[in-house]
Amino acid sequence: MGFRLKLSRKSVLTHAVLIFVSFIMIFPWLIALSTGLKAPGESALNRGLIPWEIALGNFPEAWRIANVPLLAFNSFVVTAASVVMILFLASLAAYGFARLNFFLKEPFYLLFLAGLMLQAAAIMVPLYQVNVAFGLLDTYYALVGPYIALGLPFAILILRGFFEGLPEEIEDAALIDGASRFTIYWRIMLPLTRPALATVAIFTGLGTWNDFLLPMLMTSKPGLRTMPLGLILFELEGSIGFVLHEYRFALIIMMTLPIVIVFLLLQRQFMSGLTAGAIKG
Amino acid sequence: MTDTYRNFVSRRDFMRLSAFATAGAALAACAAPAAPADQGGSEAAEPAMEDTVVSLWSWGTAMARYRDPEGNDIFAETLKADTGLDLELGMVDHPDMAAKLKAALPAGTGPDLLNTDFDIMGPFWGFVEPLNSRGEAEWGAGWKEDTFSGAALSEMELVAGIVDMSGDALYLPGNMQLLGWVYYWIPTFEERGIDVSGLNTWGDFEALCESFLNDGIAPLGGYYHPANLVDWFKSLVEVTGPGQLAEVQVGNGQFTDAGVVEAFDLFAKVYNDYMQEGAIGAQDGNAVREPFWNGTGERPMINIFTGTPYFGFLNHESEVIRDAMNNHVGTFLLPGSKGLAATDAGVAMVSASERKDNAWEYMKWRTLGPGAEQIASTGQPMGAKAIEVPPQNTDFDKNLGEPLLEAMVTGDNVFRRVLCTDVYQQLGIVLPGVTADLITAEEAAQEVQDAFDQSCEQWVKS
Amino acid sequence: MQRVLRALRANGGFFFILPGLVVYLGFIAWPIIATFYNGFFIWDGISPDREFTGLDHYVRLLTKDRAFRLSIRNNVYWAIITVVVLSICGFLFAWLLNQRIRMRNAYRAAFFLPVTASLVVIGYTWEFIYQPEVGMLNHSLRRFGLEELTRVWLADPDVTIFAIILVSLWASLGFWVVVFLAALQAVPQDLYDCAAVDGATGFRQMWHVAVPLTMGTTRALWILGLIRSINAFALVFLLSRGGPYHASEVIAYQIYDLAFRTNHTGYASALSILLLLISAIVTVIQLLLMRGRRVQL
Repeated sequence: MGFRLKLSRKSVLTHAVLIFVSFIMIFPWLIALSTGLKAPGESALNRGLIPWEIALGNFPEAWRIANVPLLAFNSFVVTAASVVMILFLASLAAYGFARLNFFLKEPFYLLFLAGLMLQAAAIMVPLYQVNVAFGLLDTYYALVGPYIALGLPFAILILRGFFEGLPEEIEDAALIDGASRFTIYWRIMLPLTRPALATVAIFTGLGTWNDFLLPMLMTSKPGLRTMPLGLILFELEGSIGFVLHEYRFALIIMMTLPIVIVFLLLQRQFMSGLTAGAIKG
Repeated sequence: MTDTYRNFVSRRDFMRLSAFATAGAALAACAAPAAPADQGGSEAAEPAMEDTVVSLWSWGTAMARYRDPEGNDIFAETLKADTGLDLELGMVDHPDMAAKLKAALPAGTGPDLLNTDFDIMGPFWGFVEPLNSRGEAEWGAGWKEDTFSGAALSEMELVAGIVDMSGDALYLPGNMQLLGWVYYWIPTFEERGIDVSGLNTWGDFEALCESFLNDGIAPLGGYYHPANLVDWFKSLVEVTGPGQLAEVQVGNGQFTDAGVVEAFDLFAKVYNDYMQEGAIGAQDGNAVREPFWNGTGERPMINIFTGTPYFGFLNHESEVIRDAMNNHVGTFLLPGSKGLAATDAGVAMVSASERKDNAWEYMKWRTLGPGAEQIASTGQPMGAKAIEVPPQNTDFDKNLGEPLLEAMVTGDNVFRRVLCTDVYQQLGIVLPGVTADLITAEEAAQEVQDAFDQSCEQWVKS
Repeated sequence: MQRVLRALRANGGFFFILPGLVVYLGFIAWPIIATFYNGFFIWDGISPDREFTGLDHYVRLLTKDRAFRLSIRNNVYWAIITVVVLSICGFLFAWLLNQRIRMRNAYRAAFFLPVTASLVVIGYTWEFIYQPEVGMLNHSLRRFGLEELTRVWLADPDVTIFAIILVSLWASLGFWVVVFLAALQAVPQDLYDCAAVDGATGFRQMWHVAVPLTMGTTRALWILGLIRSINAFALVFLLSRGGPYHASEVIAYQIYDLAFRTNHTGYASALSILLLLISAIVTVIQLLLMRGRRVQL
C-alpha cells in the first residue's frame, strides 16, 4: 500500500513538472494566437490573453497585404527543387560511397562530411560571392544551389549508412543478369531507401522552408519572396511603414498553422527525421 | 563475382553520370545570361508587356503611397493610368537597403530605378545614370534651378560634387522632409496652459520637460530607428555646436571637437531623462509609440524627425490616428536648433538599366508630374517648386501644415545630412552605447572619427 | 586508350559522386577559397580595385577590434549556456518522459513544436513578449509585484544577450529532449532491473545507468549545440541587431554587418575565415574526444 502511494506521489510530481514546463513552451504560441485574433490596435490597450472580440478580419487583411499565395508558391518551388535535387544527388553519391570503390574514396567522403559543420550564417559572404560570380543573384538558382550544397553532407551521411545496411545479394543477382549499376541504383536500391529518403526530405525540407537568411541576401524582387522573408518584409507593405501587430500575428498564425497540422499528423516521422543525425552520430 | 567486376560501371552508367555532371555545370553557367529574365512567379513573357515595365526599389516610407477610399494602395494603378507604365516594385527594409543594393547593382540585376537616401547610397552613386543631358534636352539649360526648390537643389549639387560630377544631377528630388521638429499632443498642452511660441531656447525646452517630470510623466516618446537616432543627434549638434556637423563631415574639423562631443552627452540626457524607456533597442517598438497617436498615451511629445511617415498619417487606415493627426497634434521647432528641409527620397536611374526611357517617364511623373501632385495632395511636400500641398481643411493646416510647410520654404537649408554611409552606421551604433553608459561621449566621437578617416575621407571632398 | 578506359571504369564509382561533388565544390569549397583570398585585401565587394594588406585584417581582428572581442564573449556565453542548460534540462525532461506516464505524446509535442517553426516566427513572437511597455513579460512581472525586475529586455546591455539566448534555449529544448528520449528508449530495461536489484533507486539509476549509456548521443548533441552556438545569427538579427553598442553582437551578425551593410567585404571575409576556423577546431577537438567511436549508422 505504502509503495503504491509513493508511486502515485512521484507521478503527480512528474506531471506537475511536465505540465509547468509544457506551459512555458506553449505560452508564446498562445500569445501569438491571441494577438492575431485581437481587433486591430487592441493589443496596445488589452494586454490580457483573451481578446475582447474575435477579429477574424485580420486574416484576409494580412493575406492580402503580404500576398500569401505568392509567398507560399515561392517557398514551395524553392523547397521542392532543393529537396528533390538533394535526394537525387545525395543518394547517387551515397550509393557510390557504399557500394563502389574508387581512387580517394574516403578522402572525398570526409570532404563531404566536413560540410556538416558549415552553417549558412558562417559562409554568407562566400555564398554571396559565388552567386555574384555565376550571375545567379535574384533567381531561384541563387537559393536552390546553396541549399543543395549545404544539404548534401547530412543526406550523404544518412543515406550511405542506410545503403550499407542493405544486403548485397539483391544486387549481385541483378548484376549477373546484366543490369547496369545505375539501373540497380535507380530501380532496386532507391525504392528500398524510402524511409531514409523521407528522413532526409523532412530534415532538409523544413530547414529550407524556414530559412530567411539566403532569400534575404540573394533576392530582392518581390516576385521571389519566400514565406519567412515575406514576414520580415511585411512591415514595408503597410501604408506608413509599419503594420499593426494584430495583422502580423495573423500572418504568423497563417504561416505556422499548416506546419503544426502536418507536424501533429506526422509526429513520428517528423521527430525521427529531425533528430536522425544526432541519434545516430 | 570478383571485386573488380563488382566495381565496374558500364559504359551506359559512365555516359549517364557524366551527363548529369556536365548538365549541372552547364546549368550553373547558362543561368548567368538567363538570370535577369527569370522573374519567378510573375514572368512577363510577352515582349509587348515588357515595353511598358519599369522596376523600382524602395523602402516603405519613401514610397508615399496613396490609397483609394477602401484603403487599397493605388500607386501602381494610377501610374498605369497616367503613363501606361507597369511598375514592378521591390520593397526593402531601410536598414538592409545597402545589402540589397550590394546584391544587385554589381551583378547588373538591379532595378531600373532607385529611391535614394544619402545615408546608404555612398558607394552606389557610381552605378547611377547622370541626368543632366536628359534634363537639358527636355527643358533646356538651367532646368535644375528652374524646377527644384533651394533645399532640394543644394543637396543635388552636393551629391554630384561627391562623385566628381559637379553640375550634373544624379537623381531627381521627390518627397521632402523636415528635421528638428517635435510633435506634441495639443489637449495636454492646453490643459497645462503651455504656449509653444514661448519656447525659444534650449533652456525653455528643458524647463518644459522638467515640469512634466515633476508630475511623474515622461515628457517625450522616442523612436529607435537608426535614422531617427542620427536625426536627433544632428539636431542636437545645432544646439551645442551650431554648424559644426556640416564642417566635420567634409573634413574641416573633427567629430571629437567640443561642440560635437557635447551633443553626444545631450543626446544621452534626452533619451535617459526625458524618454525614460531604459535603453535604446533595435526595434522601433510601435506598440510604445502608437498610444501617442491614438491619444491613449501619457507622453505629451514625440520625437518625429523624419517627416514623411507622419504626413502619411493624414490618410492612415485607422480613423483614430487620422483624427489625431488632423486635429490634435501640433508641432514646434526644437529650440536652439534650426529647422531643416531635406530630401527624404530622390529617384535615381540605374545606369545598367535597359529601359531608360521608361525610367525617365516614371521619374518625371513621380517628381514633377501627376504622381507628385497626387502625393502632395495627401499632405506630403515635394522637391519641385511647382508642386504645392493643398489645404487639408482640418486643424492640420494650422497645427502642423503651416509651420512645417513654412519651414520648407524659408528654412535655413544648410546641408547637414550625414554624407558618408560609414559615419551614419557608426553613429547608429555608438549613440545607444553612450545612452547606456557603455562608452563615454569622447570615445563615441573618436569611433565616429575613425570610421570617417577609414572610409569617407577619400571621397568626401572638402 | 584501352588502359585509360579500364582505369576509368575501375574507378567508376567516382562518377556516382561527381554530380554532387560539382555542386558541392562549386557552391561551397570554391567560394570559401575565394573568401580566404579576399581576406587579404581591403575591398568593398563592389569596385574593381582592391588593395592588398596581407595579414592586417587578422591582426586588427585579434588585437584591436572591440566589437569582435564582444562577439567572441557572447558566442562563448551562448555555447556554454546552451550546452550546460540543454544537457541538464533536456536529459531530465527526457528522463521524466521516459517513465510510463500518460499524455507522453502530448508533452513531447509541446516541447517539440518550436523546433518546427521558422526562427522569424519565433523572433517576432518573443520580440512582442519582451516589449518594455506592452510586452507580456514586463506586464506579468508588474502584476506579481516584481516591478524592480522589469527591464528593457532587448536593449539593456546587461541582459540583452541573455534574453536572446533564452529564446534560443526555448527554441531548441524540444530537439534535445526528443533526441535524449530516443537514446533512453534504446537503453535495455534489463540494465535498470539489474541496478534495481543492487538497490539503486530512481536518481541513482539515472546517474549510473542512463547517463553513461547515452553518452554517445550526448556528445553528438554537444557538437551540434556548439556548432549552432558559434554560428548563431538569426535571433540576434531579428531581436537586437547586435545592440546596444555591440553588447549583444555575435560573430555571424558582425559578418553580416560588415559585408552587407557597411561594405567592408575584405574585412568580413577575414572574419568569415576565422569563424570557419573556430568551427573546425571545435569539431576536431570533439571528434578527437570521441575517437574510437566510428560514426555508427
